[in-house]
Amino acid sequence: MPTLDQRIEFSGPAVTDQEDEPQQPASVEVGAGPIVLRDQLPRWIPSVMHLGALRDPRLRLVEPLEAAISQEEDQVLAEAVELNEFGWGANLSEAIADLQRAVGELYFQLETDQQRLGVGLQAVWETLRAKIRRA
Amino acid sequence: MAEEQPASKVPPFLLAALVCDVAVTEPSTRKKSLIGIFDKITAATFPAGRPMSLYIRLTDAEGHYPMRIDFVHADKDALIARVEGAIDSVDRTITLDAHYEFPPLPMPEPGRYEFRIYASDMYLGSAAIAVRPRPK
Repeated sequence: MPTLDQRIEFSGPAVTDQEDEPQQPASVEVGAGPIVLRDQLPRWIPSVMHLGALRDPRLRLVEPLEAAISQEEDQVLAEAVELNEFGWGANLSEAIADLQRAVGELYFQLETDQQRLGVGLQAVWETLRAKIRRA
Repeated sequence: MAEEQPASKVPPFLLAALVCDVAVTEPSTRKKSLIGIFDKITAATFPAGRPMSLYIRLTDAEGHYPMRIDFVHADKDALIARVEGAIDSVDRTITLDAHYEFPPLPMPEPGRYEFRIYASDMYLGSAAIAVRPRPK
């Protein structure tokens, strides 16, 4: 009867004398300046945000997507002007998340329908193709 | 005089953003260790506050990026604290990581708080914390 050790094949040595290789990123540590704490906490919503990511692991932005931010009554509106796409929410986080979801859905919808798009949607699809690639 | 580098417009990909009690860098290997990762805080009184560390890991970065981390009360869109820095990357295929140590950050009331992460003014994502009152 083979022992447990004899029945198991390891793909590499169980013990190594090698030391861990130092992590050598191409960059240095992120240099950080002093932390600025605010005394007052007014509502702070930028008028423009540049999105560097969508909330979909299948999609990567290769160019930032500009979002115009505005407030309407109690709602925050985030608009990707070049796509004519909107996101809404009770705060900036919700509005941005809604816009990211909407842009992702638009990408997949137009990708599916790309052979039968009108002129307007074809232009939107070209913009999406220029800014987004599948991960 | 050193010239200011232009900010890269290649959006890096945020692989991870984690909030923890302590983040440690081992000096010889530069490896990071995170202790006490959390996403909820229960506070007995408000305003609450506690020191926190934010760990981020990026890839797909190329060039020079001014970095910005905003700590906000997301429900109220109130900016509480900001820290700025920079990273440089010459190879998009590698990963970069960093951690930021924050002093006790004020959390005036229960709700959702976020560390929002920006590179070259591009919003990459956030790490959120739910702050709740301790049940009586």
